Amino acid sequence: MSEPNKQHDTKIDEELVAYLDGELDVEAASRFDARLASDAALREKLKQHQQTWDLLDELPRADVGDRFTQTTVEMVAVSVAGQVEDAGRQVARRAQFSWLFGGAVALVAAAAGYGLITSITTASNQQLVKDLRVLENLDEYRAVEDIEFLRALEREGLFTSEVVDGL
Amino acid sequence: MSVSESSIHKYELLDPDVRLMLQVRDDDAAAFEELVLRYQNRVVGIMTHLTRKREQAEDLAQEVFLRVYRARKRYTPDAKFSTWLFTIANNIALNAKRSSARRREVNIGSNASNDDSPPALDQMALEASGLMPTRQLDKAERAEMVRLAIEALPERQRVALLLSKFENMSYIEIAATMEMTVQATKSLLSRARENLRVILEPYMQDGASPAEAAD
Repeated sequence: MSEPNKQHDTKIDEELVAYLDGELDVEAASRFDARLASDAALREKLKQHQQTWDLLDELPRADVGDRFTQTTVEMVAVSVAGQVEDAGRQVARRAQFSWLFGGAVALVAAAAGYGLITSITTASNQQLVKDLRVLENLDEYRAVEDIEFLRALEREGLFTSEVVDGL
Repeated sequence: MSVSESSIHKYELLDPDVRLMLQVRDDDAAAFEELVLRYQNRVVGIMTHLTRKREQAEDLAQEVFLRVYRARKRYTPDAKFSTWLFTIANNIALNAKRSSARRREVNIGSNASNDDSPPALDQMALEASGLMPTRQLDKAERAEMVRLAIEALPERQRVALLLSKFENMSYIEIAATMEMTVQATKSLLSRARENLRVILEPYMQDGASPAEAAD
């Protein structure tokens, strides 16, 4: 059969089945009625389609009964309970993780605080050590009240011997 | 009111199963049980034709209802409930078929093909003729003959045919269920029914087997 003829037959077959299924609009259905009236082969095919369709009623229908309903509902309940349990486990895992994470953060914060305080206190001690000579002689420095005089005394080596003695 | 909202309202009003499903969405266990009761035979029936194994069909049907329950919170009634349910059923059947193919448990004969190739008429006739001596067929034999004819159809044709025949679905509903266009559905159903007609033609003539009809 040539391709255009095959396509034409396919189109008629589609129209025929749609006609039987009540899927044609009123206008298309009337056109198909007219075609049927003038085409005996098409009428025969329609009859065969109807018979085939009716034969499908011979198929046994499934009847699974109450037991199926019961097991299905139970299976769904078990599955949902399992989901809830899983969700609970996930929440617990998340809580556990939160505690661990919180602990780690606290440890890091404590370490950072310790480091900060240590560095601050060390810095102030270093300043005290640096200023030790001044602090030791603060009363004398206050009594002199002239920085140029003190520098002159330092150049003379007066403080050096005292510090060495002090050490 | 938007189109979507009016559509939802329409299905809620017209389809009692949509209203039941909305109760399931609100965690009403009794409504779920009622839905299972209403649809279990229909889902098992379709699955039996698709898998050819009753036990597997029941397992898959239970999987369908489990999916329905799990999806309850996302449910929006934008179609008839049966359309939504059989979309899930169709997807589960396809997934099961793919899994079976991966496990190489299916026959690779033409009966199991998923394309639209012509049904294996000779094989089907051979199987069926073993059932039938030269006489009128009784009811059980006719049922077996029709079952074999349905099984001889490519899978998508079979699904469309079963939804049309046993679920009384319109082309629009079948298209939505099988995720295809309405025109493709029309074409698929036409091929399905034509193939079925060709397979069953010998039986329809005098109710005899193909062998007898050929004599």
